[in-house]
Amino acid sequence: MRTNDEWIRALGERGETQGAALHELRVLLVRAARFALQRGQSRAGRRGAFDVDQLAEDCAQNALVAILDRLPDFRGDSRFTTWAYKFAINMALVAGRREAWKPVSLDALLEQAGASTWRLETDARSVDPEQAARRGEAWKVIQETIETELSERQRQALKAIVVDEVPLDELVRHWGSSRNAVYKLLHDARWKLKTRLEARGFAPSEVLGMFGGAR
Amino acid sequence: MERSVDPRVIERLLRDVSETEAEEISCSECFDLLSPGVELDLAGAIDAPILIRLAHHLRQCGVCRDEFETLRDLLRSEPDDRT
Repeated sequence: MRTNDEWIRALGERGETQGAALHELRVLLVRAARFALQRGQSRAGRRGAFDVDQLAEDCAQNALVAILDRLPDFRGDSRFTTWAYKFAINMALVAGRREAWKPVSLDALLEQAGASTWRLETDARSVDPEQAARRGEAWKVIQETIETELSERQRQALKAIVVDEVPLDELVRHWGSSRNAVYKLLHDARWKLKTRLEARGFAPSEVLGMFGGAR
Repeated sequence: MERSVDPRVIERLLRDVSETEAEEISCSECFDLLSPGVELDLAGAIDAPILIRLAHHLRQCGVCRDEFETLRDLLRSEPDDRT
């Protein structure tokens, strides 16, 4: 087993030493990518019918390129192989989600998500009229904020991810954006909901209790 | 057009809303902290500053959480003498 320094030194050299290190690393990356794809596949259910072995090879190759490119960024704050694995896992999970969501038209899904308003399924056990009225007021604030104060993109992202469980990476791909940018869209939408609820006298934890107890 | 929504979906959203902070780390920062974070988690160092920074983002971001958990489980599946 190589130490971190041995990995860095070998990958930075030329010839047989580098070749052996690259081969060893590639084997580890294929294993990591396959592990990630198999997990993703089992979660995707019937959507997860794709060739794990071929995809694992492709992801490992792409991860290897990224690792060599980012080698100067390795700070040594973990084992080298743990650091390297995260590239293969990232690429494999993104690729697996892509395969699973391929048959779904995100254009249609986002259009529908953006255009529809939510109707909360009621619970017959919520009998306390005062509690029901307060819950109704909170729900109105949530609806108003989503429908009138979020941008179109924020509304689409929030609804697609929360209700339709579209993976964030699929929106990133669909919009040609970045994870940071789509995460920021969602963050800003959540922050707006939180501050609007607070401004109307609803502590978010209280509202959570109202809806958490509604089942 | 109206769409029926399960209260559990709203509960999940409101849990995320209630935990939202004005400033949060980005997915890139999370990725940077992933490998030391997972090793600290496996070592049981739950009070480590890196894990505290990561924990909030991981509760909010499903794709980053998936990467953290996959890396953690991959390491768990390996022999201890891995370098």
